Amino acid sequence: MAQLQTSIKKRVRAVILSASVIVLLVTAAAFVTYEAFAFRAQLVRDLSTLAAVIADNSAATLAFDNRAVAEDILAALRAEPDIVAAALYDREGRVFAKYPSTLETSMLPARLESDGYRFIEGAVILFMPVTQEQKPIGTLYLQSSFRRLYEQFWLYGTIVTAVLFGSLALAFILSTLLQKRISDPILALTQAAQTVSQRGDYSVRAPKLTEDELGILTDAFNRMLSETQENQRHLAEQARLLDLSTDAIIVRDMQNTIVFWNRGAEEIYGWTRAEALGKVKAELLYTEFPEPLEQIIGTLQRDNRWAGDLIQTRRDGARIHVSTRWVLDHDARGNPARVLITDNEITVRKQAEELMKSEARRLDALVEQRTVRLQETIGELEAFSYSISHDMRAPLRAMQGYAKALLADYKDRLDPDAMQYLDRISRSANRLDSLIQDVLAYSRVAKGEIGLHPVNLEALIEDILSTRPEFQAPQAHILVEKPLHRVLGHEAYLTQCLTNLLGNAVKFVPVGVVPDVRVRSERLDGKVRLWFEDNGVGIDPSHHERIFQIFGQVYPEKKYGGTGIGLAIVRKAVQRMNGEVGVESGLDKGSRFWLILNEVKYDN
Amino acid sequence: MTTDRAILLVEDNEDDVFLMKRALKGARVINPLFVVDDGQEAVDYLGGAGKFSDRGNYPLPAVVFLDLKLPLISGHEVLAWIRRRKEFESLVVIVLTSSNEASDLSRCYSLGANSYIVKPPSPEQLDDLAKAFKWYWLEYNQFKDN
Repeated sequence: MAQLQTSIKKRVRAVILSASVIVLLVTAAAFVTYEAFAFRAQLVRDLSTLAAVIADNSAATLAFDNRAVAEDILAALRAEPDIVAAALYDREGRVFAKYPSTLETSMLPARLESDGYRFIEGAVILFMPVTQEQKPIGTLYLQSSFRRLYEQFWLYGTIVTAVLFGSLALAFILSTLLQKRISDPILALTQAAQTVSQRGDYSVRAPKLTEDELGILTDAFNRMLSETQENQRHLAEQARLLDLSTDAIIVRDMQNTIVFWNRGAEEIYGWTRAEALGKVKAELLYTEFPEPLEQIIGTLQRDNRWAGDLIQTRRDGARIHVSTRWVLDHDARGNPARVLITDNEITVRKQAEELMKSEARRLDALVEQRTVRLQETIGELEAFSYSISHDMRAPLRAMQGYAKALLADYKDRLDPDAMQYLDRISRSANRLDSLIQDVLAYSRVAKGEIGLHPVNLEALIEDILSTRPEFQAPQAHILVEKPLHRVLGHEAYLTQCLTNLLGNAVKFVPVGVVPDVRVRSERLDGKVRLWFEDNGVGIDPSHHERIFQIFGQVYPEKKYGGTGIGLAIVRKAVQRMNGEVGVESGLDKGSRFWLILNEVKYDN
Repeated sequence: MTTDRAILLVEDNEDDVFLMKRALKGARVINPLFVVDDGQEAVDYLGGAGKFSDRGNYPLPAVVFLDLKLPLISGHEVLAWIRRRKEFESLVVIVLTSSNEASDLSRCYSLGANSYIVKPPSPEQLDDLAKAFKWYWLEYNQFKDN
């Protein structure tokens, strides 16, 4: 500031002083030049007059050859101190008389020159003819030095120098007074401008000190400040509104430099406005773009806008997802000037989406896995039914075949009892064969709907018990508590279920124990529960789920036989009849298997 | 009436062999009947391997009863083996199986079976089958000369 002040003051003063000096010097130079010319002209004129007088006076001396008089005449030149040499030459050009008389002849021109004057170094010389009655009789030579001229120049020089310094002093005083009038308003403007630029305070005003152009400039400056202040206030208001947004609102110029950064941006990214301004956004935030940047810029230039999701880094290093919208802004000439960026943090949403995606993937994998397992199970079932159809029916055919063969070939040697037994064998084989066929049919239709019909459980159980010796005394005691409620079911499935459950009840008993089984039913709100309670080995509760799975045998096949599929078939068949199956049992406590089926309503 | 052409029964179940033999006898089929009890032996017999090279004792059959579920080589594979051979293209192969699976049926026909019969569940039906076989294949059917 002080430096600037000195600078403008110095400069104004320097301008005034140098102008004064130049004017003075030019004036002095002109004056001196003029004086020089004028003096020389005067000198020549004086010299010519003097020469004319001397020539006239000395004409007689030459004519009469009176050398002493001539010397006297020349000696009168003593009155003229500038005359440093003089000589009178005769008609032949020989020196007739000289002045001063002591002057060496060699100092005089050796020969005469043409009439007139001529400047030589430091002097002017003059040749003038001496005539008598219009006839030349000799020549007068005069040499006048410039001593007087130099003395005059010296005087002039002294005066000019004195005037110069006097004028300069005056100019300095004047300039000191004048420069204040010019520099003060400028300094005041400067100070105001500096206050604005350094403090950003647009409320200051420059004092108006003059009514001239500087006054107009000051007015204009103050008016500009007022407008800027108003704009500033307006901008501050808008910026305050922008700060209310929870979105990050950022403006960057075409060099990618951040020029605006609202509070939302501060909160989302953790960088303050002061830190962010002037930085390159993508570098500050380590932006990961969803597509190549060139492509984004292309879209922005074509459509003036672009939107997408970015991954950016907060000041604390956390990676966040933002949904961003870019709008390209143009300047007055239509050139791209800046990009308005609105960022909205969506990290939580993204994470939720990721979670959902990964969960969906996990579920897909699970479904896939289960489907594979399901297909394996279906495959096992198919293999099983194929095995049944092939292997289990072969011995049945053999039984039937041999029984028939016996009846045919040994008819005359068999008594009626034997014939009846053979018939029972044959019929049992038939029953078993049809049961197997039913199961196979069941496995084939397991996927589709089956027809359910009222089934008389009492008759069905009687039939099953009568055809199987292992269900009869003394092998087993099976008590059916009548009445059994009528249920809605599928006869073949129910036969399968009851045969399997009763078969298990009489099969899984400790060695030497006679199976004791009780079958009863109870009504349960539109359903019927059928109980099969035995005195068998029981099943540990930890196995209650397993036994209903295919090949979910708990006891070794060697000990009790069986395929390990009976209860799985029961469950499947019961499910197909919209029922349920379960067991209540403990090791060595007997088992209580139950079926729940839909009851038949008689009024229907 | 063909009575001298041989019949080959490929069956691993002794009971089925017994019952089939009895049924054929009951139907008065007097053609020589040879029995092999696994798929490999069936292939050996037809291919004349080992002892079966003696065609005097083991003549090439005109009809093969072929079970599907066989030890070593399955009936399907035996059938495929037969149909790959030019010399057996006119050999009558009757699949006699307990399987009535649709997949077995279609596979056997696509492999070139001449007939597919599910083993009759009752002896009476087996007797009927034996009679029908004799009547159709041995009385009416024309075999290509070997």
